[in-house]
Amino acid sequence: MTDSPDAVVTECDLPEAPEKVWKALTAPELLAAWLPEALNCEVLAAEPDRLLCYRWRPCEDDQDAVGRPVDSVVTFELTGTADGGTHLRVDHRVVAVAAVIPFKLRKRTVTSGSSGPCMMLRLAA
Amino acid sequence: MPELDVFRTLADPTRRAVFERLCRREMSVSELKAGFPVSQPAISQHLAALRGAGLVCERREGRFAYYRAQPQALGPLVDWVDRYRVFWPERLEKLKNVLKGIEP
Repeated sequence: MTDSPDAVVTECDLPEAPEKVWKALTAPELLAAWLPEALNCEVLAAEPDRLLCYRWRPCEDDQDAVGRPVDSVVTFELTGTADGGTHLRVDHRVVAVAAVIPFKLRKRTVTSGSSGPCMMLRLAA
Repeated sequence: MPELDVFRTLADPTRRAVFERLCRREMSVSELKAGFPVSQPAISQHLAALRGAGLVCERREGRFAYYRAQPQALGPLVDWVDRYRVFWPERLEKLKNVLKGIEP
C-alpha cells in the first residue's frame, strides 16, 4: 500500500492474463458480479488490456462534512507478469471536479509507471 | 458559517503544500511564501480557503498573523480512506472468483 492521505492504492497478482482481467473490468455482466458500482461510470480513459480510469459514482457515505458528494477517480493498471498472469493496481483517489477537467485538455507528457494526478492527466489526454 | 469542504480544498496542490507545511509548525504569511513560487496575495487566498474549511487557524499578535494547521479537520477524508481500504481488498477477492469462472 502506498496511500497518500486522500488515496487508496490496492495491488494484487492474478494468475489470469491481462486480456482476461480486462474483460472482467469492462464486460457489464462480469463487472456486475464483483463491482456493480462501476457500471455506468463515466470513463475518463481506456487502453485495452492495460489501463482503465473512470469517475467513481459516490455512494451515500461518500459525502463531505456538508453533505455534498465526494468526487473520486478510480484507475486500474494492468501489467503482464513473466508467468503469464497480471499485476493489477487499483488507485482510487479524491479529486475535485475542477481538477479533473483540465486533465482532459493536456497532452500525454507523463511516462508510464507514474501515479497520482499526473497519471490521470496522461490517461484523459 | 464555515464551509467545511476538506476534499475540494485540498485538491489544489499549492494549497495542499501550504497545509502540509503548517502541519510542521506555525508560520507567518511571509515565512510561508518563502517556500513557494507564488505571490503573497496568492498565499493569502490559499490560507483563506484553508481557514474556511477549518484546516488552518489564525493567531494574531499585534499587526502580525500566524497560521497553523488543524489536522483534526481531516476527519472526513480519513473516513473516506478507511472505507475504501476495506472496500477494495474485498472486491478484488470477488474479482478473483469471477476470473476463475471465465471460460478460457
